[in-house]
Amino acid sequence: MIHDLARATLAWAATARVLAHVSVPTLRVLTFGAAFLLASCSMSLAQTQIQGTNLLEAQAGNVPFLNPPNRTSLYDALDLDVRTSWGRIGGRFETDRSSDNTLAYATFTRRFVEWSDNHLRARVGTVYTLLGRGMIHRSFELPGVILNEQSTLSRYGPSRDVDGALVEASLGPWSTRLLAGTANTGLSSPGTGSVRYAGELAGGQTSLDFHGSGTVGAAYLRSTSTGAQQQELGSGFAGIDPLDAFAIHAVSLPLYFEYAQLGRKASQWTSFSTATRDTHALYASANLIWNTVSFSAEWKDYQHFRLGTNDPPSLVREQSAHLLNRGTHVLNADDERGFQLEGAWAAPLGLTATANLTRADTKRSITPKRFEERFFELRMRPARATIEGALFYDRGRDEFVGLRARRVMGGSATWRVTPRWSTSLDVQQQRAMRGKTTFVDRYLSAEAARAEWGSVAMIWEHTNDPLEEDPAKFGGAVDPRDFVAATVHARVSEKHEATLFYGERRGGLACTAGTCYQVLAFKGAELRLTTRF
Amino acid sequence: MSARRSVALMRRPRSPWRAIRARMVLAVACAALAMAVAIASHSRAAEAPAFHVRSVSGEMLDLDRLRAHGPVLVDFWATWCKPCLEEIPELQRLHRTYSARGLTVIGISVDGPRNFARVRPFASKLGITYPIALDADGSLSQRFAVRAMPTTVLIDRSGAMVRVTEGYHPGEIASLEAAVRTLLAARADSAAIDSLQNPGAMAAPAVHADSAAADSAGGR
Repeated sequence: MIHDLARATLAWAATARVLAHVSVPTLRVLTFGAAFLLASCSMSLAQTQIQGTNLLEAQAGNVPFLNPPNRTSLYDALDLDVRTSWGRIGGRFETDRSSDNTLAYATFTRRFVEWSDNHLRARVGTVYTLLGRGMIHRSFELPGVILNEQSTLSRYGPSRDVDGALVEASLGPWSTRLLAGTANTGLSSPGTGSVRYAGELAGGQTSLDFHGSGTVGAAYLRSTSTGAQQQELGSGFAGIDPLDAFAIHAVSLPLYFEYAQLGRKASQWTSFSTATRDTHALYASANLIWNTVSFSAEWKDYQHFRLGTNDPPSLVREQSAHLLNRGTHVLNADDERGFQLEGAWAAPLGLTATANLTRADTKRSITPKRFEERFFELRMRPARATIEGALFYDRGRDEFVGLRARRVMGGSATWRVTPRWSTSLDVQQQRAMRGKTTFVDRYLSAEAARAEWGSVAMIWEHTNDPLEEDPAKFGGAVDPRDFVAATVHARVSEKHEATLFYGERRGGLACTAGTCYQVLAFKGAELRLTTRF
Repeated sequence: MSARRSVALMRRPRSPWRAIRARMVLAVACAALAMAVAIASHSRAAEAPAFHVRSVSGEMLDLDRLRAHGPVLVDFWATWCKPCLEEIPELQRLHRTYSARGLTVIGISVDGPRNFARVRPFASKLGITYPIALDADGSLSQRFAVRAMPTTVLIDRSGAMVRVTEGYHPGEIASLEAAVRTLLAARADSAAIDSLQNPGAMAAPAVHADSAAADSAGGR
């Protein structure tokens, strides 16, 4: 291994000579790369592991109604992670190139050095962390997601990170974390040349854990990320399972409460207010779990808490059904309060039932708006049966985006034809009213899969939503649109996977890991290769 | 005008080819680096990053301690993930069948703060009895380079990641189960050798979460 790395170092040195006249930013990138490699070599003398993943996506096509229709682009993200007995050093090299060559970039978008043992973790460079439940700060990334800039089409991996330092320490029941750096809001591609990191933030959190049955803590953050004005934020949180504390284990009752304030005077830090004039964020949750029955209740009240670097719980169910996922409500932490109730029952014979009620309201708006969703799902998975399936019904409205009423229903079934072969069918329909216009969305997906090999799927989507119409068309009745696509997913080997998409993909909202983002429509062919080495 | 500024004004304008050439060479250099690293890491299975987290029910899960008792299966999943719904009952079956022989199954939920409150009810609904932990800040997913849901990592007693699977299609549990059996058989063989070499020694019982020991170690 040392010889291989030494050879790579020599190759790197040779290329560096060629690059004698390269621009300063490129040299900076190269310098980091060389430092990364040298550190890797030096660490190889100790017990070292080098791991990497690569995500490559090539596209031939474009957003429908945009020219040229045969645009080609290539995106690649290479992650390297060198682990040694004392810690880690890692980085991500990201590049995007397209045939129109407008916003091409090739740069390191992540680099870090991390040291850790059983009680301490210190990381310098690109850091991610969470304070409380994210009400005053959450930095994160969405692995495997590739986004397009809406106007420039430049592609990038979404990462809302902090460029700075993070220290986490724990001793017995006590734990603390400290954070300082400059924040990336994750909204722009490195290719746009816009300033991705802005302002400074510094803060931390400390908490006490009571053997898993309870925790209490406080967090503080000082930030200039959202403007020139410095903001001070503080939050206090507590979680407890009172039944567990009394050694009752047949029933669980975990409770959690967090309250945060922004920009208060020192004398006001101890006050508790949910008045609309006071900037605050309140979140509370309760679970009741008893045998096969479970129940969760959550409450939120957010005022002026859209900070750009935080992520309060939205209390809107993250749906896995396609039409429901793309029709979700995006939290407006500037002015929203509401609740979410969910109950589930695991009945005999592999039957599970889930019911959910979600509501979100504006408090200050002159014209009050409401998001409401009632969801019910029945899932069947009988033991030893070769067929399993689910049915759902969802009814609601989202006045934040002008949807007065919405009804979605659907079902999915999977048939295990043989132990290795299976087929799946997914059917959904939405009938919704935007203003005075009623429109219908239909979704159908049929898939055949073979374990270890991969799958082939056909997807058909139909809509007469006026928002999906050709922008060049003006007036008259809405022309319905159909989106037809085929995907082939192949497990090339244990370390390589390939997914080929061909056809037309509908754009819109999508949510992954609790975060929602806009996906651009696409028409053409797309090949994605993921490698793990 | 200073001499330095005069020199700067006399410089020729930058050629666009220079930037293109630089980027091309940079790309080639990075590819070479990736290949070198790939060659270097090819010879052996990667070692699983050590972790210790508290499960949602309060147990402390320490990978080093758990793998001392046998292979560990770590499943990264989420409440919104459709294939996870198909995989989790199969993992529960593996847990039920092989936990007494030394297998430990751990579920790591990658749900963000939006879904924290739904993880325990969800696990209860699916009848999960193996320990579940939250990857609240995403650090575990990053250390395991998780890019798709679900991602299942099988770790042997030496700590090597012998199998990493992304995504799930019905029937794929069979090959995972075969890999688990192989590791358990190897464990049984080594236990038999140990007992021959040291007749007083007994194979350690399977432990899902050694909370008392981990607490005393003061793990996070």
